[in-house]
Amino acid sequence: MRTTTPLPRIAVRAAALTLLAAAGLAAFAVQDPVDEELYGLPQPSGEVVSNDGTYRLRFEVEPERIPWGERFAITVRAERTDGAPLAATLALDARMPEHVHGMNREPRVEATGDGSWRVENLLFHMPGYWEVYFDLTRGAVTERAQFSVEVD
Amino acid sequence: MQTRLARALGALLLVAPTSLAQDQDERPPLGRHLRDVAGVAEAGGVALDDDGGLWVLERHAGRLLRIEADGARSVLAEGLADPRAVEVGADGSLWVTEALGRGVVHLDAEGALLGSFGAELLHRAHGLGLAGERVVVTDRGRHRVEVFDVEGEHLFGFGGHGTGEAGLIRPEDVAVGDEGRFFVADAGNSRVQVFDADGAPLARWGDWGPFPGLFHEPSGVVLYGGRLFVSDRGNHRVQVFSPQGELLDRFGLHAIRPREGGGFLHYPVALALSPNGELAALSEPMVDRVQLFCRTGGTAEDEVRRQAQALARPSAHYGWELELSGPYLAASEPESHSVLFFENTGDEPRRIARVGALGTKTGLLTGVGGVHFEREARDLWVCDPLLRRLSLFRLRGSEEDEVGYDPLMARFVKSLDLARLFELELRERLQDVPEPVALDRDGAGRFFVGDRRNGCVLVLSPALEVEEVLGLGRLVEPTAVELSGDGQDLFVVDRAVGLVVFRGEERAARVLAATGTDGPLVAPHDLARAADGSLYVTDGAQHRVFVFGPEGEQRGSWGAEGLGRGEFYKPRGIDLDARGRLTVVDHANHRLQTFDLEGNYVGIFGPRLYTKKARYPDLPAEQE
Repeated sequence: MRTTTPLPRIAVRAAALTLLAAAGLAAFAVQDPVDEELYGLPQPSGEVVSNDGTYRLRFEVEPERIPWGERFAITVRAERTDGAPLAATLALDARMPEHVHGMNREPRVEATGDGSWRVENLLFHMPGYWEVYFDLTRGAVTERAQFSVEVD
Repeated sequence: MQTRLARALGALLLVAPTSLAQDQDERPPLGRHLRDVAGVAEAGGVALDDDGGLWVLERHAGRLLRIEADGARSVLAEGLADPRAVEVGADGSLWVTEALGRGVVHLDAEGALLGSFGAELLHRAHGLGLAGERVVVTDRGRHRVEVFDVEGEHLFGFGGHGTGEAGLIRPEDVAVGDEGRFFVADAGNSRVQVFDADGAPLARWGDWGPFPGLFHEPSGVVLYGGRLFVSDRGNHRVQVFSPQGELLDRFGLHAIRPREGGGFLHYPVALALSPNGELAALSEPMVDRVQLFCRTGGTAEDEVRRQAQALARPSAHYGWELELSGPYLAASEPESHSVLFFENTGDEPRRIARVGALGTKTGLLTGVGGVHFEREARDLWVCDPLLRRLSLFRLRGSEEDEVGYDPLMARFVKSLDLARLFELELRERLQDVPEPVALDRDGAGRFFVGDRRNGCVLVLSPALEVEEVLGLGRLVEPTAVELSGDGQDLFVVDRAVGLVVFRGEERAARVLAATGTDGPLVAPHDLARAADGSLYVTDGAQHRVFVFGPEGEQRGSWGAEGLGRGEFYKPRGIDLDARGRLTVVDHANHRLQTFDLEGNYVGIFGPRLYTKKARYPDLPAEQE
């Protein structure tokens, strides 16, 4: 698995082809300075800031490389960037925006305490570009953090 | 030569008769076009007799018409407040729903008032079903179905806003089965739901989509001969089901040419069958028409050819809402429940992004109301009145980027759940959960949100907390909000009231231009404000743009019904671009038109078939 910011389809495909041709292993891409410059890669630490800057999340994917057609899980820990108490709930979703559809499984989210969650029953049923969404809700406002991945 | 598509369609048609084996009605199916009844302004509810005579409602005019089979017309009732449905009782009396008035109105056969009821309970009475001593009404405002006896006593109700079992979103019609079961056109959920005689949920079928058995906002239901006929508004067709939800048949195809008719449909809404089941009537408010269908006598091959031809033709729509900011143009697209985003500096807008997609999960859209774009942050706010959310999307990149179409340009950022906000902060101040349809922001970042459910404007802080509620008791159904540059004046278009201003620190309300007999407007929808303070207001019923001064003085107007340059058919959204030009969503002509501030035609943008006359004004009539 490699994590990315959202890319145009042609850029994603070009990146995938380049990487496969160069190394044969997509995981090496996160170390490639050319890719980083062109596409904003990498996010090897598994840390993202939410899209409006309110939350910082650290996540781990199990297994590390998301398999196509097999279940995987994500553990995530969130905090507010301003240091205030989190007091938020988490929902997780994933979609293929170029294909305008999501997963065919309903994720199971379990709070494990102290601003952490474990999410299971995740499965990407198609290869290609996926976006994974962490939706944190506090009061009436839900804010999204996300990462992207090319599954092959 | 028969194409693969034609063979596939033929197979579909041939399946239908075998599926009808359990049906008692052995007659050929309904679906052959009989005739068009044009010139019914904003045609709403419809009822039909065995001879092809019609009762039909004109929404904006507030009239109930009787149109005989030979075309003779008479007005049975006037002064109805946004009438939506009409049914004929067993005794020949007439029942009508009013969305903005008395709830349910009972008239005798000549149109004289017998009584009314339900105004206190119903918010936006819509669909109507009669069953013996019961009168059943769908309430689009409260997302419920209410059951009365014929004397007007409320017996019970069911539903409520929701997407799960028993939940309804803007139910538009109801039919009552033999065992007292209720079949509800659950428009906002794009499904049919069935409830038992006590209102307990029994079954549901359908989802959003164009394929057979799916729906795009079903709006009319009729039970006849063991079949449920459903007008599938956004798919421009009628689908026929068994009471168990098995698809049996369908007819009607999407009209492409303006006001096409002849069996091609454009957003059919109300549906009626004659008592003998030989005729069906469909109202099309978008094209001010009713179409009549009879039972088919033609061959399956005829139908296949017709359908294959129609499916090969192009189609494109623009919705009601429009936003122009800097070099960009955003327009809602009803078919996909999304917002199309264009770069707008050249001769024609160039699409660069699509914002949102259909769904109920976070980050998706089910309805698209007002849109508001903030150029510097590249933030696009979208009102979703069906999910009762404000959603924020952010476009990556910058104006300096050379950008083509990028499917990943828009990223969902956050949303405000107004149902949750209602529970936390508004329960004591408002009647129900707000349904946002319009949005503007002032220089301090505060939000001004038009709420059609409660008839008000919510003022929210930049942190999306409630600061103020404006217009309660003065507004009925706002459709647009716009702040003056200094934020002192808040202009609101309300489809029932007209153009209203909330002025100064006190936000004192004043009607600048009224609707109906008190003013020049009939069905206003949107406004744009020029630097000199002029206010440009679209009126869908009059096919015109009105120009008012800041005190409401009328400075002019332009437009007329038609397809030519400067002509409209139901104009909706309007906004000013960076070049000081006005763009108008010419909704029912499926195009955008651009004008200077004097109303002089500048340009046009839209599908070819709809703009041919405008592009070539000297075109001979036979080539239009």
